[in-house]
Amino acid sequence: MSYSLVIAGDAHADIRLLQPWLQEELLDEIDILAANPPPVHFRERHKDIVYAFHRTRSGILHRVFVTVRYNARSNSLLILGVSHHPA
Amino acid sequence: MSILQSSGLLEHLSEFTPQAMERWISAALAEAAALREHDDLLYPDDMERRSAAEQLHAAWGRWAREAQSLVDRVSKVRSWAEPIAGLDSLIEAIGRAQAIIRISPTMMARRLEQVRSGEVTSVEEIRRELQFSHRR
Repeated sequence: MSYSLVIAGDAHADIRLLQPWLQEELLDEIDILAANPPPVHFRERHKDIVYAFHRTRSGILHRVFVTVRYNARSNSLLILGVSHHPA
Repeated sequence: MSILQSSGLLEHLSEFTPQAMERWISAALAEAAALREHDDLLYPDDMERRSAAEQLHAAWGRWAREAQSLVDRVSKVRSWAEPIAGLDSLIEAIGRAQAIIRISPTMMARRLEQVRSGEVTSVEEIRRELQFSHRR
């Protein structure tokens, strides 16, 4: 089952701090997260999940961490925070 | 000794073999895994559990600092030709810990309130914003 995506206002401000190309990569990643939620038992055990992905550009490794919460009642995936750590 | 208390010691260890590095890294990852067992306490919905959440955030903060000291120590002495088992996982775990530390329980409460009050945006809106900035 696919989840709808909701991005908290402050998380949007976090996203704006990323370079545009990395914002686009992030949006693709969270689309995938919403379409492929982890199993129910995992979501029940881990209410808030920090999801990590990385991309390499111009020889620099960019690690991005997204704090998410699955809301089963509203079938939505809340994006609550984003942080970025270039290596 | 816990990795949470070891950074002072690490500085004084002149013999830091690849095997020793890997054991320290493994210990640090084990502590992170233990802390992760309590992820459900990070952002409680009720105020009564806020104190436990703050303690857990403080523990993540200590862990991240000590783990970063370990990475710095390993980076100083390692031979780059030899991969060090677990080092990438440790660096990723530090980034994850920093993501947790960055959002305090109070900040998270505010963000959840934004969701409840409709102060939110959608992926489509951000994509439109990006397209607009590309055109300018």
